[in-house]
Amino acid sequence: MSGSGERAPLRVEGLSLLTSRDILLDRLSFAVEPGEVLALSGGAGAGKTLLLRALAGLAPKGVTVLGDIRIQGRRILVTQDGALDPLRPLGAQFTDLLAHQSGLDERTALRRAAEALERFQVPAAARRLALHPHELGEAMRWRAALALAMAAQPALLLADAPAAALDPTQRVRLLNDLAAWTREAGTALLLAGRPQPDPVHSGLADRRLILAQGRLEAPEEEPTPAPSPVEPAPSGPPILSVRDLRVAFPLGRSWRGEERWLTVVDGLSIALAEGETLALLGETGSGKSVLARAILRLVPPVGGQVSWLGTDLAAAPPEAMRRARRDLQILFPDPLAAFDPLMTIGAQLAETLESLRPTRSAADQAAWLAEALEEVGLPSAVLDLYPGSLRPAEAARAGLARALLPEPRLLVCDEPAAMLDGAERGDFLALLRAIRRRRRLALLYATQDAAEGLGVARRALVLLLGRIVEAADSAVLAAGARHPYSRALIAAARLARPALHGDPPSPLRPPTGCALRLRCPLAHDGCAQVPPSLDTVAPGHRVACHVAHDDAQDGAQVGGRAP
Amino acid sequence: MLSLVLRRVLAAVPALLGLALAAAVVAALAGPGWAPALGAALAALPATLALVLPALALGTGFGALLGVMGGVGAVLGGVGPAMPGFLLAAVFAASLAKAPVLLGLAALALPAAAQAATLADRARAGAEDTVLLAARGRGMDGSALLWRLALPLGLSAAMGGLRSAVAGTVAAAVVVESLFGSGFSGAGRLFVEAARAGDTGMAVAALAGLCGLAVLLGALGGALHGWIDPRARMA
Amino acid sequence: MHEPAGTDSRTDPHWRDGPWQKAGQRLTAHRPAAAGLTVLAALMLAVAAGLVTGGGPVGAALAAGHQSLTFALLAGLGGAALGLLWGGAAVALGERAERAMMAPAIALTGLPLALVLPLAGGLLGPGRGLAPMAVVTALIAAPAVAVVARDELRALLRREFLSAAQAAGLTGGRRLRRHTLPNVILPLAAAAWTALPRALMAESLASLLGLGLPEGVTGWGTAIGAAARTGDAMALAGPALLLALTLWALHGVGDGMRLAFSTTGGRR
Repeated sequence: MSGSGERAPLRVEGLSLLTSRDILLDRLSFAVEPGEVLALSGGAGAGKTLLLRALAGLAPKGVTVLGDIRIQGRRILVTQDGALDPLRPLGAQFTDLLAHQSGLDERTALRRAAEALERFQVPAAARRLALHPHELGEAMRWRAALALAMAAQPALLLADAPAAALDPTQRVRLLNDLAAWTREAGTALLLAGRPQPDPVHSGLADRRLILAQGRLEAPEEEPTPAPSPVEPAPSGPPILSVRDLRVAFPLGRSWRGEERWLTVVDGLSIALAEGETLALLGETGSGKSVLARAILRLVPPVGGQVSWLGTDLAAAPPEAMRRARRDLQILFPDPLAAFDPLMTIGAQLAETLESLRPTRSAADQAAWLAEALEEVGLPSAVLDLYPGSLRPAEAARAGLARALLPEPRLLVCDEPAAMLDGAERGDFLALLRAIRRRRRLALLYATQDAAEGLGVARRALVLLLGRIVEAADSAVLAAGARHPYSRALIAAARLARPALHGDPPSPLRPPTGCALRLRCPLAHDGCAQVPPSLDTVAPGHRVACHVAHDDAQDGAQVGGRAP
Repeated sequence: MLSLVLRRVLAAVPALLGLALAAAVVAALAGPGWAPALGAALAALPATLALVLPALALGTGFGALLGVMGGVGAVLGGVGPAMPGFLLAAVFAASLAKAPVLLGLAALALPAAAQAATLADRARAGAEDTVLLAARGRGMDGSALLWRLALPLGLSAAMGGLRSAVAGTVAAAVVVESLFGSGFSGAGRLFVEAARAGDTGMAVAALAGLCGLAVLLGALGGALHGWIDPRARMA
Repeated sequence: MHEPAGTDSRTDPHWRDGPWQKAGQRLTAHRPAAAGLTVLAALMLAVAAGLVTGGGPVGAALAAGHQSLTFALLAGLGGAALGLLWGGAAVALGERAERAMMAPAIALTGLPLALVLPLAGGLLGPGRGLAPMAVVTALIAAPAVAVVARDELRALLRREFLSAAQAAGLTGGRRLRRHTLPNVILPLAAAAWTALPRALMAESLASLLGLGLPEGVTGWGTAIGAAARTGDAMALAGPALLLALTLWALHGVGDGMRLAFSTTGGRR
């Protein structure tokens, strides 16, 4: 497993980490060569952070480090939060590090700082050096943290799941830029991260180690997930129809007394037939989550219509709304937080049942609850537990059981697997798919992971700033998305470098014309004029993009021009 | 820095005017008339300021330093709640008759130091796995870590609690001035004597003066906090 | 902090405990809180015993403690109730009312409010009753409680399980009764507790100046003030120690409650 060169910046032999009670890491041996990108994968709690801290010589108190860690040259650890000094401007932090460690004078240090930021495509880098970390966006802060680490020209860079909380298009681009730079500079990069997808497959990493139960495992060939059996496209009249839905939040009045609104969902229309599955793909601020909640009237819309089986939900009287809630259920992104911590799971399931299916007798009810848990693979003992005693994977299943209790016909999922990792995530999604098929549920699945959304649903909508930018069958999108934003999302899902640059525009001040134009590699002057309309480019395939429209008119093939 | 101070002080002006107006009305209705009451209160304020300001400055500074370094600071912060300024003042006044000025200062500075130590210690502990670990990961350690990072963070946290520290110190200063005899003749003494005599106008004017002092010191502290910590400039 | 590899929360023998037990465990896991609870219980017993046996300097200090603690408890409870009402009303009445009601509360927390009590004591004269003094003390303690209560309520109303209850078809009233109110008890208790040390401090400061508890009622502050003016260190020691101990215990328990129960600032 270990490399052969004597000059490996990092060579680990028989490294074990122990506490007085446990063996945390068990006799790890590996090496990283100069210019190599070694991915370290493992689920939550696998010990990635601990290993990186030990390699940086910063093992937590009470942890004994045994074995041999040999490091040639300077090592830098970029911690999980990539924290910068909150009190000083970026420039001062660069000069501090470069003067302290490399003995550079201030001007050279500042020049190198600006160059380092430019490697991550930071525009007007020199001016950013005067800013404090809290004045930067999250993505910019990560670029600064990684630029700061690389500016010090380390021989070994230990990066602990950098930018994990960023949107995929930004995170994956940042990781690819980082890997390109470390390869060029001959820096050995140890990149910790989530187990999926495989970073070697996309070329992000050269090699991959998997950390599980405190040991290193050789990566297995991942079985490509079997494509879900193609179902006939559901037909029939739509059961759910959303027309021109608008959700906006008041921001108070400006100094001139005008009402200011933050528009989150901007005139969306959806139709869903019985048993149909639809993915809502989009990142932070796309409006997917608010749309999901507005459909269930958990967030009040300011305009448009949501009708369920012909009933307008906005105008529905309480009794009709309750009947509709039987049919419309939701999975929340943090299933644990969606349970009241003071009530047992059983009591909360029973409460849902009493509220939505009050006809059941008590004995009947108990059997029903046990059955519901069995369906999601939980023992009935879970009924007596409080949410605080559940693991995340169990909470996700309990949340699914609660949603299924009233026998819904539509399940709205708002990133239901966001808290799960690795095998747990895969198992949960498989369960969700199996139950959906068995019960013939209609599914609305909001996610920022394009691969997950396209795998779960037959059709997909790509959302950007509260509008649909592309709508097509999942297979069509996976094979050849037309909109640059869709392509970026799909690329990011397999860790390939997305072609979008810069940061998403603020929803408070969206750009004129196309919402993507400031990040889009294909944007031309016309894109700033009018927002593109959602036009049909092929049967069942609609795109809102000026460039894609032109391509379609020129007779370009599906897939279009490579970004 | 100067514009920050100006902004903070200007923001405090309405509160100061309100206090002055309230005191003037009460003094005009009940007491010696608004001009003499406000005049006496204003004339007495510098003496109180001379007691409160150094106590707060020394207490917060040393408290934050001790808190960041742990050890003594943790002990100081731990016993802090047991020694409010008025209690220390009473203990000093009863047991040690000498050097009343210094003791008065100490009675006010110790609680401020204890609070600063608690806040700074908590801030350092909170930063241990984030900002401080990240800085160590970049190779910073030893005294550079303490002086350039941990202490400013601790000081910023201590300054964040300055509003309540100011209020507590001003209240305790009243007790110090009242118990420590002739050495002090500030607004606190004026307030207690007027209250004891049932002189409504004068007592309210003196209290308004003390409140105004607290508002002003809070504003200055806010400006200083913003100078140390850019995140606090917005608030 | 991340769990080290290989540990499992299920190895914790208390993993099945209910939320109330876990809250209690979190409270007593905070050492000053556990010590504070013990000290407070011991003080209560000692004061009760002192009332029965009486006599001597210790007995006098304990008797003074009876007056101080009773007053602080009543005034503190009043202040807590007032503060909770203030914060609760601000949240219930909508955003504009909330801003209008909370701005003065926040401004008041920066003022030496404790001095209002000696002012009231002076103005009411030597014949002042206990009740008006307790009311003033409650008013002094209320703003800080209101600020914390508002923050806690806001944080609670944002929590996801309320959305889940709505998706389960529960009406507004049932959501409030079954989910909001039970979950608000502990955080608001933590907010309310802060009124107790505040009330005791205000009363002791005023009594120390001779402007607090009415004449004839001797609290710790009264005894300390008298001893300080005569320079009698021995007479001062008892009440001063007891007062310091009580304040320390009240703060310790309050700190522990904030850490263990709060949904907002707990882990600050």
